Amino acid sequence: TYSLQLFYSFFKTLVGQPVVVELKNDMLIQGTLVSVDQYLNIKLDGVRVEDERKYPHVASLKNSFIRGSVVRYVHIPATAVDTALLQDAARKESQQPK
Amino acid sequence: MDDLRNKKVLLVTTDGRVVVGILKGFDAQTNLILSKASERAFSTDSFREIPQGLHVVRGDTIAIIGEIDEEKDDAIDWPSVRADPIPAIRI
Repeated sequence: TYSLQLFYSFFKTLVGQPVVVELKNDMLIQGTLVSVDQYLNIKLDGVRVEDERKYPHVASLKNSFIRGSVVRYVHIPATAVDTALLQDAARKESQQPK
Repeated sequence: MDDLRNKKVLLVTTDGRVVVGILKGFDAQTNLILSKASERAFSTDSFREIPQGLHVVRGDTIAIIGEIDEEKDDAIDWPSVRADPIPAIRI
């Protein structure tokens, strides 16, 4: 089940999964999700940028902390999510009186 | 970011700059203090390393920060690397 901080809780269930974070500068960073915080800042281990020829700038990065405000998408494996459960939780949260 | 304290880090800023340095301090807004900072300026015809000394970086200008694999970093001949600059973050 998911608490009020829905997406924070959701990402916590994905710790240990391989994900690809797409940034608002179009970079795609692959890695294993290590942690997430209330701002949806993302820590990844074993990072690799998708287009290594275009982005040699970050070739020597071991891990990365990605600021939540620059994330466009987090691509996750379809099998890692119970979509029905997530939809249900999102519906419930949007119905909360605020 | 606690595990990055006093480590050599690489930072990508929201305007596409790449800075390396030693992370001396940070706060919850990801404002940073970097010592021995230097900017790596990439272009299709040149590479420049620009020393910056002690730097305070405002958190909202940070896109990515990570630990450098020093072995990997030392093995790369940076002055020969040619690439377009990283694009700026766009909302």
